[in-house]
Amino acid sequence: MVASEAVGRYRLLTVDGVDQPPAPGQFYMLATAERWGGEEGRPWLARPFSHATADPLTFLVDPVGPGSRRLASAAVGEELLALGPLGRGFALVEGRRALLVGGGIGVAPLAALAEALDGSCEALLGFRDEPCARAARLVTATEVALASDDGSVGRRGFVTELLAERLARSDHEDYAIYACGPEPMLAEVGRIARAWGVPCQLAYEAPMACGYGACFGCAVATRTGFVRLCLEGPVLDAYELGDTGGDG
Amino acid sequence: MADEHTTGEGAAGDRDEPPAIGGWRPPGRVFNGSGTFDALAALAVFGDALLERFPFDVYVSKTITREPRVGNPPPRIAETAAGMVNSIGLPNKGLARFLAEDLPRLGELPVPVCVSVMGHSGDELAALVAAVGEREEVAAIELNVSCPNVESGLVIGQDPGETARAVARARALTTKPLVVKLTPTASDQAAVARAAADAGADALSLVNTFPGTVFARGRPLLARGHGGLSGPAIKPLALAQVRTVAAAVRIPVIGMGGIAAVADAEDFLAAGASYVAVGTANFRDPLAALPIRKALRAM
Ligand SMILES: Cc1cc2nc3c(=O)[nH]c(=O)nc-3n(C[C@H](O)[C@H](O)[C@H](O)COP(=O)(O)OP(=O)(O)OC[C@H]3O[C@@H](n4cnc5c(N)ncnc54)[C@H](O)[C@@H]3O)c2cc1C
Ligand SMILES: Cc1cc2nc3c(=O)[nH]c(=O)nc-3n(C[C@H](O)[C@H](O)[C@H](O)COP(=O)(O)O)c2cc1C
Ligand code: FES
Repeated sequence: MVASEAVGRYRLLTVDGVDQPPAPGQFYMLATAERWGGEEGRPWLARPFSHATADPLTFLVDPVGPGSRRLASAAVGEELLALGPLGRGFALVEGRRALLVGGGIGVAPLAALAEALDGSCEALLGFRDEPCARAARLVTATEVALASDDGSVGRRGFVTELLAERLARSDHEDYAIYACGPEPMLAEVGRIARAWGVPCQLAYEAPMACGYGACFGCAVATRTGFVRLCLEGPVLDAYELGDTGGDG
Repeated sequence: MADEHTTGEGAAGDRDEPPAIGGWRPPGRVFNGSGTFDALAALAVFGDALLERFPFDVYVSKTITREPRVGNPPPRIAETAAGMVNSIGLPNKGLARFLAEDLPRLGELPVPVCVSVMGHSGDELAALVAAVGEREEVAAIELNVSCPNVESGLVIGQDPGETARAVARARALTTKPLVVKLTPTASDQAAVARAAADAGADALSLVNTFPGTVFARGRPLLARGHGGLSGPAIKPLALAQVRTVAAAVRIPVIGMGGIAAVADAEDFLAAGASYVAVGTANFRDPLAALPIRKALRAM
């Protein structure tokens, strides 16, 4: 790791030595080479992280548990283990302007998408509060609208409210939506997009032990049954999601 | 220096050449644990480079059942200290599609293939063993007996009589080497092991996962409430069971449970295993077994 910088509540890690260029929405399994397994034997497995920029390769880490805290506190110069790039990223819809919708740490893959689009996209980003919202600067879209739970930045309320208003405008057919954030937010983004008939891709999360299809732990229900999110995702088409009860 | 060959322990795994499994001599000592490495998915992700550095000497498939299964609802996994619990629920495409779609491709791997099967009744098991046993891609069959027999309600691998019946039925249907994967929850593991050996098993593999769960904020993290514990967390439990079973039978033992490094594998060999399998450690690193494979080959 060559740099580590605070971005509000989050930590932005810059790494080198990974040659294969990732596509926006793909992810890596990350761990530190040393002292992984610190707090009462956790973390033991590596952790999935989307890259926030491809050049240089950066990751935006929200320190929520032992693995993400360990990564966020890794020292500059410390060796990280990175397996990837893994999974399927965003598939750009031809001829439609990209509308990026992010919640919290979900801005990470959207930053990578904006980077890949050279900024020619619009973004609606929602955060809990101001320290989280500082990550908005990573999303280099030409137009950015913000919302926050506490009203400290942008509109008070949910980013999905911004989305509903945006699509209520007459030009909604020009857009394709690319979203990442907490699951309830993604579910709502998918509902809104389907209601307007707008193409929509959602970068999902699931617990992942391996990231390369070995454990079957990352199952997500789609219309055709469970899929392994690390192989078929993490980006899924909002029109393909479903509900699968599982085996008895 | 103590004479290793008089201490009993360390003597069992004769270190020059491991014993044959039935008539079969695996090309090395390192297997993968069933369900912990999907070779076809790994090939799709990592490409042919994986074939040049294939981490195992023998590839064991995920457990196949006669009918397709979609598996358990998520969340299916949770990490715990030096390990994880899983309730994956054996998702698989069922026997027919496995034979038609997957097995021909598994047959192209650079190592022999062992197919793991599980039947919830004698007939189901018989159908699996007969069909898998016919296929030339298959070097060996592993019977996963960690499931209830729907006819008796007893978990097959917890009961010596049930185990003997299942193994005898399978034995009559195939000449392929038969590995029986024991259940770690049997009250008398040595008795089950002997029953399997007497009924015609060519090798025993252990351990499977131990029942376990992880709670967060007062609730289990897994949708199913609990699952199976694996990883370094279970290594001492696994070593003890391997030691007990290896002392109880004359057929080879494939030892597993928390193996993540060469030293772990050596402990299992010292406890009486002739072969080892790497499971959960593959999740951390798809090539975790490679140094172990190299070290045991050089032995
Ligand atoms: C494809 C993908 C991309 C991702 N990209 C990013 C990203 O760019 N940036 C980012 O910050 N995050 C990202 N994540 C999320 C990130 O992987 C998780 O936040 C991280 O794995 C958490 O690990 P941890 O050890 O810090 O926390 P954990 O201890 O794993 O806890 C995380 C949450 O899970 C629960 N939990 C799980 N296991 C246990 C347990 N054994 N005991 C108690 N609670 C448990 C807790 O309730 C907690 O809320 C991504 C996830 C996926 C799947
Ligand atoms: C996610 C997962 C899936 C598994 N699936 C199977 C399976 O399909 N059949 C089986 O016999 N064992 C299965 N196992 C058990 C492993 O093969 C192995 O016996 C066990 O995990 C102990 O070894 P380990 O600690 O090295 O993982 C599974 C284990 C895990 C963690
Ligand atoms: S994370 Fe292991 S199969 Fe997807």
